[in-house]
Amino acid sequence: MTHINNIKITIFLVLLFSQLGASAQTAPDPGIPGPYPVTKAEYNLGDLAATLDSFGNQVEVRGSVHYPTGLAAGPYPVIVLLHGRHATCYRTSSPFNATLAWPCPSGYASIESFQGYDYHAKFMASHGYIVISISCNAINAADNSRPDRGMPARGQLVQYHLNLWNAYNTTGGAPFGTTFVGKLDLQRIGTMGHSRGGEGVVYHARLNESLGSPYGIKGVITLAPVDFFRRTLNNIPLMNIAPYCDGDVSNIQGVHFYDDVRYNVVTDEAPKHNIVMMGANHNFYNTVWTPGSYISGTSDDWGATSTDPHCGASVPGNGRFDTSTQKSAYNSYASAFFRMYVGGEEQFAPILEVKDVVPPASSMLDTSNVFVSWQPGPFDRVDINRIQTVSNETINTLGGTVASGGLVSSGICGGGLGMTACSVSSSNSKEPHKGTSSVGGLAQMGLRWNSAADYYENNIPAAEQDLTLAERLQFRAALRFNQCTPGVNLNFTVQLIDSAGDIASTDVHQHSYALFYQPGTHATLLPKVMFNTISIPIDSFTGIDRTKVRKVKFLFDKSVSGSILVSDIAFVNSKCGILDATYGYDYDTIGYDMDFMDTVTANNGDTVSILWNFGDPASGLADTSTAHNPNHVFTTAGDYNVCLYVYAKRGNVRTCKDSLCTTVHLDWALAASDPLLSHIKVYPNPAQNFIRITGADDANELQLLNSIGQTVLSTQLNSGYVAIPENLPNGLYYVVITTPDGQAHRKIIVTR
Amino acid sequence: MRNKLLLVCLTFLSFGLPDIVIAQTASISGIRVQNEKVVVTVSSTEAFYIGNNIHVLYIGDKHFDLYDQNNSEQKGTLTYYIPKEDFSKLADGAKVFLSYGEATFDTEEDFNDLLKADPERHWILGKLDKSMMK
Repeated sequence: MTHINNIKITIFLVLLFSQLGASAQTAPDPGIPGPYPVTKAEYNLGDLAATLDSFGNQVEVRGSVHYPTGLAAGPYPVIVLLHGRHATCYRTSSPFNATLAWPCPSGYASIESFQGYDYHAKFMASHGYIVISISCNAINAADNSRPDRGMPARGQLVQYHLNLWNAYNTTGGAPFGTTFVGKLDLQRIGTMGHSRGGEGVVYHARLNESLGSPYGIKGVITLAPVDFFRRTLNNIPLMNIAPYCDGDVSNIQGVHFYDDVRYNVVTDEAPKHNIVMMGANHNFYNTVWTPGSYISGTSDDWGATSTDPHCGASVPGNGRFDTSTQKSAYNSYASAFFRMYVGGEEQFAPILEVKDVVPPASSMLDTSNVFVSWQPGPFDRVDINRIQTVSNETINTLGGTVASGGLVSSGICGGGLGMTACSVSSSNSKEPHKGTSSVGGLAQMGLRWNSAADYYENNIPAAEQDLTLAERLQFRAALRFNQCTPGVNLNFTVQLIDSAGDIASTDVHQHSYALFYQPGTHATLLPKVMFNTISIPIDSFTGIDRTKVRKVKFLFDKSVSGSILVSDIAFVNSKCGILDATYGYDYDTIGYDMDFMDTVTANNGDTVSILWNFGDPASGLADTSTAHNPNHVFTTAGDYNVCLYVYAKRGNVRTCKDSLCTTVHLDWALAASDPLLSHIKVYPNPAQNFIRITGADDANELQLLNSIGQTVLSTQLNSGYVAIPENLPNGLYYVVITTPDGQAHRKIIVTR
Repeated sequence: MRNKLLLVCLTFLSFGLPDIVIAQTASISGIRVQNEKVVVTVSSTEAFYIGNNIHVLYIGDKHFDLYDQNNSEQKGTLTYYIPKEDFSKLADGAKVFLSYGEATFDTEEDFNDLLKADPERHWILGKLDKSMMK
């Protein structure tokens, strides 16, 4: 006879709404090594160990893993690194020339590009990550003759390795045995792809999604990537890193990964970031590709003999980063990104959200050589003027009028198909944001002035004039260098004007260094138009009624003349507040029927609305609920990502949003328990150092299992108290009490 | 007319492959039929850079970018696979150019300007000689 037992899990959520202070916060340095000692290991299952559906040729299965030594805790979040296209083999005798082939021919050895990020892998492992870097030589050796350039294969390769590590995480396997069983949190994964690997990890994220998201990809970094096929990545936090002195992917086409996803999916709430590193080249992020660090195949992709005054590494006073600086720069920003979106360390937000203009010290950079663009999610911003279509020349995104006065020229260019090109240069490589003949690029508002009275303004409709919740005004900009004096940086005044006509002013130079004349003189490659975000705290605008701001004005009174390109003018909202959650457990439901509870507290007269998403798409319309304390019937056992979204609105101010998600584990076989044993109670829950059992005799046996069914404690009941082992990590556990009448199963949360 | 380029060799690094060589010479060394493709081989006495961008072959007003690459014994080879039908439409004697990354040009003069400005990424390969086809 099958007994159906009832389990009820109650989630208590307390939401506190508070407005974060408008004063700027300085983030901690993300590039300081973490506390864990690190171990490195490699695995090599063979040069032709796997077949990928889209590739035909067999590929190697090889990689490295860096992890906290001893793996005492866990499960640990995971990072996967994918290198780009590079020589695959080198001759083992002089002159050690490099070539493309796979497997390597006789007399040649493999070039291990996957080892080139060891510095970063070790660093992230010191912060409690398991970092896997995978080899991609077989694809690199044969991808140029394929129309798809091996991109689907790169995505499949990453998924193949994740499947392999999933096996290492569950049952173990050679060469690691059971070392990694239960140690990888495969729902918290970050990926980084360099060069062709960059487009590869975009393909992978989409592949993973198409497979039902068996793995939780929480953040993707595209490092100096190609973007041959202009695929877009939505709903996952993204950071593109663009090296200004890239001599390989010299048109820096990877900026499209950022540009193309700013507005293409209305519901996409994932933040996007673009980092421009002014002195970086393509290769020096990978030590195997860097001269002096590997035996063969290395080069300065910009060209060792270049005479360009900025990117030519041998030119006195050039702006190039040395190899150590370039790696430090990458490591610092990548660490901020991964630790924030994969690790949940939100203290690094000011670095990635253009609130800290000064770079982290660990990056070895200064304010002149690194710039950030940031696109917040739709609930975190109010778009004043997206600069998307020609109509935005006269009507902005809010529906307000757009005007200008005295300008030499103005107009939107460069964007969608059919739009006039910005024509900064005859060379596409000088305009990375430019579209192609088949796919549009970044639409840009050109503004050229020659008088201090010249201006450009966006009017704000009455319904949108309350900026009480706004934290910053931001826009992206770049000099239109072909219309500017070489070497002369620009500045202008930004004004907010209220309904009474009062004006608050600040100038760009007080907040950003982004209006610089782009360096370099290479005939076909430099200078380059690179857009960067200028972010101005709202508190910089004083003496106006912030509930009635009717105009944002650019007044070109700081530089005698100039020309800029602008996009993405927006207000950024302050954060909604702080989510706090405690979990309760109750034993009361039938089948998979579960009750959820929420408690929401709003401040300052905010109106709040909620949305529950139970992560159970098979339940159709019942997968979401706007009711407090809803009930949901899950259709099958499994893990469900249950999220509570809270929206706040104050008067007519646009909503802001916060969310709390938790994984609900339904393992029905494990949870099955005879209703005759319902008198057995286990408390407290959550528990810290002990649990108390009532309703069971001392002779009964008790087992404590972790979330993947491993026994972590086996004992006999004694006076009803059971001590929880000190070294047990916080998390979900199952209590199994064996009695003569059967087994009772209970779930508890251990939290200390 | 085929330009004669001055070849400048960089200091040979003890690690093997030198940095991108300025003014590398290259030419079409073979044309043959292979199944439904015409295989055009571009050869150089120097290795072609192995990187993430694409070597684009321009023949007349068409361009092709599906190829294999091999650098053995420091001789560079790019082997392009052109559909037979596309190859048949190419004019015998058409000007042939090669670039690393897409090149923006309309005339031979434009390409010459690119070559002068950026000899590391541009090559003039002469004219298409269909009589080479085997």
